[in-house]
Amino acid sequence: MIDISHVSKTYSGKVKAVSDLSLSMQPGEIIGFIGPNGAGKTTTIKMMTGILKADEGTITLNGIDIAKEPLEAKHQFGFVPDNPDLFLRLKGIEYLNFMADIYGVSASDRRARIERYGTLFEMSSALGDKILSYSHGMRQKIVLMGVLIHEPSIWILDEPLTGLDPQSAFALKEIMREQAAAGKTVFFSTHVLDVAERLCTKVAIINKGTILYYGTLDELKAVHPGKTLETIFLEVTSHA
Amino acid sequence: MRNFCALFKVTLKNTFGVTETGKKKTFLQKLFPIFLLVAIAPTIASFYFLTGDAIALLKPIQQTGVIIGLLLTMLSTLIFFLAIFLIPAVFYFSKDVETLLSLPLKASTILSAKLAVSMIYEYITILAIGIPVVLAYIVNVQPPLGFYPLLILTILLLPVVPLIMSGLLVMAVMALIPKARNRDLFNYISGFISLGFAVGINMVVGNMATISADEMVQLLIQGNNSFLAIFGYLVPSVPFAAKAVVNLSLVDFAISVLIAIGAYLLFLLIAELAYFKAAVGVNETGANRRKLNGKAYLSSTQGADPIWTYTLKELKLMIRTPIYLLNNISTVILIPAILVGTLMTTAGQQDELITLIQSIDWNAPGMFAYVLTAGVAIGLFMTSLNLITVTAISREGTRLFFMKYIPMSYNAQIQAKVNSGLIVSVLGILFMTVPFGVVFSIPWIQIVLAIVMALLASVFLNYFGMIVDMIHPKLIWEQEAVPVKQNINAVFTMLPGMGLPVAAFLVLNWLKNDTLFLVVLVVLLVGLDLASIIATRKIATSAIEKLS
Repeated sequence: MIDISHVSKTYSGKVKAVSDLSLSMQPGEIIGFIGPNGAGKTTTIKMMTGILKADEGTITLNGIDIAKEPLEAKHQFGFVPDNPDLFLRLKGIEYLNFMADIYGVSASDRRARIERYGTLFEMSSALGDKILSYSHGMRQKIVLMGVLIHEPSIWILDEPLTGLDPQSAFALKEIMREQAAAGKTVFFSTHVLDVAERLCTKVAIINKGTILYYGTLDELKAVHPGKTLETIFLEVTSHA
Repeated sequence: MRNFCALFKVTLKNTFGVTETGKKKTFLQKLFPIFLLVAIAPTIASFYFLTGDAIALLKPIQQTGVIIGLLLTMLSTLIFFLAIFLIPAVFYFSKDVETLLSLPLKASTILSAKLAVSMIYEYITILAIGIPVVLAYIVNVQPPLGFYPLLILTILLLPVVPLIMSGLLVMAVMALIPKARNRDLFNYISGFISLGFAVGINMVVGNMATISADEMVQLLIQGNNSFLAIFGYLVPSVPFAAKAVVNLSLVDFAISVLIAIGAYLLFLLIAELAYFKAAVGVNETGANRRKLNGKAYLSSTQGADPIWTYTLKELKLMIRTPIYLLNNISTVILIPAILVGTLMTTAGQQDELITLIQSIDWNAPGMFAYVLTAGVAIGLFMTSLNLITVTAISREGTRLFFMKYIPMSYNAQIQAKVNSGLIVSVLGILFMTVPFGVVFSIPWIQIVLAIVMALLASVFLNYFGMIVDMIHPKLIWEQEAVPVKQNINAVFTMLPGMGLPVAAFLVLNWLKNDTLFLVVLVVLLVGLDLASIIATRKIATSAIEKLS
């Protein structure tokens, strides 16, 4: 469960990146966070994950305030950043073990998960090589595996499908559905409206730091009958 | 030509403007040029005065031209060797190569632009070394007016031939040896070769008595700058360039220009033949793509304590990043090896200093305190040398955000980073103290206590470095070398690194009592250790949270 309440963030005292943003996400939901470039998506995600401090408002993850109990809150989620270039000189297997140690995953659990996701993402034969030798998509996959290895109850993903090949994108979407079905909360930003339309139980549309719409796709379409999500998105954001 | 100009402009901006972020410079950043000037001023001044002294000796025998010949030879040789490492980095391994390869540009155009940018790099080297020497020459020799334009033109042309020679060598290696196209491997090899080269130069300079006295006298008797002939010119244009400047000879100048033009034409030809072939095969690092076998898999998936696993991560990243291996790790082995090696060779030559040290009675009153002070100095020296904690946050660069979202306290993460510095410092201290102790036959109890003092001093400096880098990290960089090689923070650890042994020495002279000195030193070091550990813990969270 993620609860964002009246959160604002201003950069250098001038640029208001996020303004009075509130969202409440329940277990079992897949929420697509969509908006044009510079709308405030990444700033919101950075505040949710403790990378940035909100100027105002509160963010709780499974009821734990990220500002007041940062360590406990950080144990609740797994985060996939938009840039997967992390620790490029570690080997894939070393990165996974590093993440497993940080999150306190037992040796038997980590082995089982590395086995499963290595096969699913076709990464088994690359785990012994340095991440530096991976393609962009492979780097994205190893970061995803680094999250899956500790099976968080909340998923926060920033543009997770960028650079993935069709098989891996399909596998990721299946895992997101699987996690949601198991009662976990999945929150991800995307520019691909088609993905949001097919995958999400709810969408949050943001522009200029303000939430323009938050609810189910059916409700959104009911307000804009006969229109595609793409058309609705363009209309909503252009009127903001 | 249009393509060349456009490419040159972009490459130049990309190479020299990467750290411009549009942010206002901090007070410390503004002070950086002053620090730099203060740091290199003694070297520049020593070049100037050394040249002045040499001219005073050479003037009566009309051999002042030897200074210009020596300068041009030294600069062109230096450019050639530096370029062996610069050229692959600029021609093959820079980040813009992939983009350039996809553009409709000829290999000769790309490499001409890159060669021109490399020349700018070399001019910086030339200016740093050349200005004090030329200034001393002008002041002491007062050359005729014709000297100035010829010197300027010669200096402008100077990097062309050595750079092209390196370029041709590198292109041949890259084209013929596919393994050389691995960036990491190249960086490891070139790094260690350059270190070896530096050590070699040191040794050669130390043993430079290769010309016999007869030859020297013969050359000097000839007068009229014939001394120039003693330099074995590596770069073919240099003898002519030197003669052109010293004798104001336009013919020699024209020959040196013709050699440069010829070299450039050959360079263009080879570029067209060899560049694309190798550049398209460049990769960042090697990979096997082999599934891990059961045993390796099982051993690599054992759980470990988070702080230890974080410490190991820090060490692995340093060891596997060539530039960090060379700057942060290799020094702990190389510096003791060089010092001990030099000691061993000079010890065999009955050097006065060595004989004197070997004759010291280590059990004499007062010696004990000196050994402990030396221990402190070694601990500080080996720690300030490895630059690990003082660049630990800077090396994170834009990846710093990772520290903020993992469920590990900032204190724990900082402790892991300090641990990595401590481990390398301990190795350095052991490599330094044990061989010296053995060579000088110092009693083992004194060696052990010196090591303890070194460790105490090292703990302080590691934490101190960490504090400095938490407060003032250099996070915006594109090249991995920047946070360790262009980071003013390193200077801050050198200050206590130099100051503390001096303070210890003063206390020693003041107390004149071994036991009392030992107590005061231990109290001082433990106090500094505790203060730095507490300060690190106090500021870690707020300092890291402030960083973005």
